Amino acid sequence: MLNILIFLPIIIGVFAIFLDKKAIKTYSVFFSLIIFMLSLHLYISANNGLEFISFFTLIPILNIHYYIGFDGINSLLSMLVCLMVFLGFLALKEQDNLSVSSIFISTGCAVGLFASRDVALFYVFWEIAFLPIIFLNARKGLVETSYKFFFYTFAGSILMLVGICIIEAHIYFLTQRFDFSYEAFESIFSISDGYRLLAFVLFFLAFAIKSPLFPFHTWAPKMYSNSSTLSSIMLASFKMAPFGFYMFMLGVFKEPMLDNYTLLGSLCIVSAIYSSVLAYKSNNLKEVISYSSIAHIGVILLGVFSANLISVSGAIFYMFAHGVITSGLFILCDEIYEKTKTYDMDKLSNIARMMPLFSFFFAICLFASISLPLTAGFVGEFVVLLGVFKQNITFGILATSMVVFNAVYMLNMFRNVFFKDKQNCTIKNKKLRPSFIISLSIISIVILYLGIAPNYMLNNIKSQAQNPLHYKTLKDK
Amino acid sequence: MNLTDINLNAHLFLHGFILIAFAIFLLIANVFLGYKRYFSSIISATAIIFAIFIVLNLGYDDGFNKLFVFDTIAKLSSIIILSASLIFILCEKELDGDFYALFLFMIANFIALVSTSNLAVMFISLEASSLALFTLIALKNTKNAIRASLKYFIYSGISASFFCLAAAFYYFQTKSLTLDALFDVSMVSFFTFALFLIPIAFKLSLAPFHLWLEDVYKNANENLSGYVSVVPKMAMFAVALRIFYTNSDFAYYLFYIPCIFAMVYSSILALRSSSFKEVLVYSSLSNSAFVFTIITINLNFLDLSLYSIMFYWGIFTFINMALFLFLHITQKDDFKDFAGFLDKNKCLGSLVIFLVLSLGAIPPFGLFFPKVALMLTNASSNNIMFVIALAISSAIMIVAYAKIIKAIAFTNQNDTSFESFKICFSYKIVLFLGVIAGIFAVFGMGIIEYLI
Repeated sequence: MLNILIFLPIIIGVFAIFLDKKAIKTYSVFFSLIIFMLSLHLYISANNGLEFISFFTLIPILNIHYYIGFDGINSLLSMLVCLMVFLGFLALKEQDNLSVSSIFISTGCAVGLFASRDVALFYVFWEIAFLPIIFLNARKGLVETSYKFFFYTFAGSILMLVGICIIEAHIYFLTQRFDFSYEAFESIFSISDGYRLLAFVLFFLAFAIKSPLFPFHTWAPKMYSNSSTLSSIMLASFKMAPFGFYMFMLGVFKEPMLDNYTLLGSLCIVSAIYSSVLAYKSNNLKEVISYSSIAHIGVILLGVFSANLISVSGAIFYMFAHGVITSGLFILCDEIYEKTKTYDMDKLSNIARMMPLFSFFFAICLFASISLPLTAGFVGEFVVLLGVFKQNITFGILATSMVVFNAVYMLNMFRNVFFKDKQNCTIKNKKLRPSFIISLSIISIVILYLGIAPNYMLNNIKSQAQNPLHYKTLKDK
Repeated sequence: MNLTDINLNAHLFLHGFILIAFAIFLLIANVFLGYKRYFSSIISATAIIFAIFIVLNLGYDDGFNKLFVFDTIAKLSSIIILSASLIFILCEKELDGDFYALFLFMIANFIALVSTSNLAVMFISLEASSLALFTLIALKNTKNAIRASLKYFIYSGISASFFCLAAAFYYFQTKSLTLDALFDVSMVSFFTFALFLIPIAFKLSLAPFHLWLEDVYKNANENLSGYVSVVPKMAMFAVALRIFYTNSDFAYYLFYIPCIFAMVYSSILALRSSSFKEVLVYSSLSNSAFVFTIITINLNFLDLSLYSIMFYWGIFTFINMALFLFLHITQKDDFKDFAGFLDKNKCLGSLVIFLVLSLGAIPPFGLFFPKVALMLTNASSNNIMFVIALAISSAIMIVAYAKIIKAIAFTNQNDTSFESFKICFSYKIVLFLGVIAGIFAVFGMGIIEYLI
């Protein structure tokens, strides 16, 4: 089943290139729904350690295996991607073959990345997951932005590869064989301090670039705000770097991570503050949401680095919530652009009066984004902050102040765009498409449901978040 | 020792004899039938396929009183050399009929070179194969091609003299010309190994011994450039493995700086270039330096080293030659000339982008797993500096490759001169092989294990 979830989107993506343009919307919605249903089924089924394991050897002498499995956490993040791709396809009007193909292929790679239990396999998916998106954006004219993103991420990836080689050399030294399974990577505790720190730094850089975390974030705002909405949704919902931090920092590099907690925590806080300031100063609606997303990533990562069960569980919950909320906001932004042909907030006004239902959806996503109680954002952020306070009160206070700051610029944006009456914004076609309404309704329901009854998901996360590497292994099974 | 005591084991060089026999047959046939390109190419391809079949079925042994050895190095190198030669025959449509006999002689010499541990035979095979190569470069018969051939001849002569000198020192110190004596390392001085460095670095065109390269690649036709960037290097890897694998410490000190310098320098040259062919040339230099780092690894890792080299170079051969064939088909070189290519020719454009990504080691395609194998082999033997240099060089090279992709896929078309290309069946086979090598590279290591 898990193999189907990885390879079906890739196959669907390849076929999408040859499809008739008229049929592409039906095709994308139909198959993304099937993929989502499949991912939902796997999520519900995979709550008892590692399930749906597939294992076969790819390169015998190097012991590189195709080793995948699902647990409550990676299946949740996979479901997030599948859900948002489905809702994105459902909501968005303009779709072409290349976009649909790229998004499906990226989805398959994203699921592959989350499911990987072999570090070499993880690296493969890590590297290719965004390539279709980069290609798509470059073909759409964003050549320089895509290049910047590609070089940043490739440089980060190659650093991680060096880190992997260092750890593998150590494993080889200990056991006279290579072993890329996550379980084997635990043996890093006996590596010399210098090499361990080096490997930690290399992995950290790779994840920090893709997260994005200050000061490695410069590719992100332009990429988020200029790329097509489907790509933005993918970037927001595909939590590969936070997941990488969770898997490797907690599982492999916990000691060096805690040794450097002050530095890492400071980076998260600075990242959040810096992005918030930029969001406050920006006049571009999509840019504000992009910066806000980067700020939230800072809080999520702070939760991961705090390394206690509460903060980590909160961070994972918040990854899901953030993916839904930010993707929802991107979809709403796209609709505004469709109707007004601008993201410029100076040219947007009075939308609440012109499109009340649309404003309602926007309000729910926005309130969730500023972590208002009874929304998913609140639960995620609250649990993260609780865990952060437990670890370090100063970071807790600073991170909490971020919530306030976030509320300031988001509400400011909401007031200007939706309620100010400047008489310069007219929308001729105020009607919302049914598919758009369905999509946004689902997003709103998810946000409210997780805000009101988060226990099922939170408990599921908590039961598996203690140590990402301590699962029943294949051998135990 | 009587001659009757010598067990010749002549069958161990049967693949070489087959090539020579077919070459002689071609020469005789040419006298009676005249030069017929199609006939010659069919005969040459048949000879190579025969030779591959024989190599696959030979058992490991030595022959001609240890002048020839057929071991894993010889077997795998021969397969790569013969495969590359077959691809070359499939690609080549322009050269005359008499060229094929020369080509077969050259392959036989390369095979002799990888199948011997005797320095005298090595020297003879090296020179004989080079002589054939000079002629092939000059066969284009332009002023520049002849100049390039002469330049290569002169540089090659100088490097051969160093090989001769090294062999003489070796003989002086060990009283033997076979490399078996190398197991007693103390008998051979560091200086002798240093002398071996020069011809090896020259043939592999490790910077700064790459000066002959630009002329040869620019003036030879694209397919021959592709061939030169693969086969002589493979032969020299085999030679270097035989000379240095018992003396990895010497090799480490000798090749440490040249390898790192060659990797980074050729990557920078590729980055600065705006010519597709030049990028491929420098990529071949950079890749050969990657591979050469393995020579410095000690005996404990011999299996892994050997597998890594063959894995890497095998995959590289198919992808590289397919890309050179693409240049031959389009007859274009500058990046600007490829603007809008993907829009004009979706199939060929996508295929080339895929091949370039494979060459750039974007996982899971092409050179990615071979590169991981090289990095792991280096890391396991504590050569962390090589791993880092490899990573830096890869990062620089990917920028150069990205420039090619940018031109093909993301630059607006500035001329409409893309005629519909004639891609004959044999070209399609070569391009297909490149794509297959790119997609299924991950199974390459398994195939090598199976072959051994």
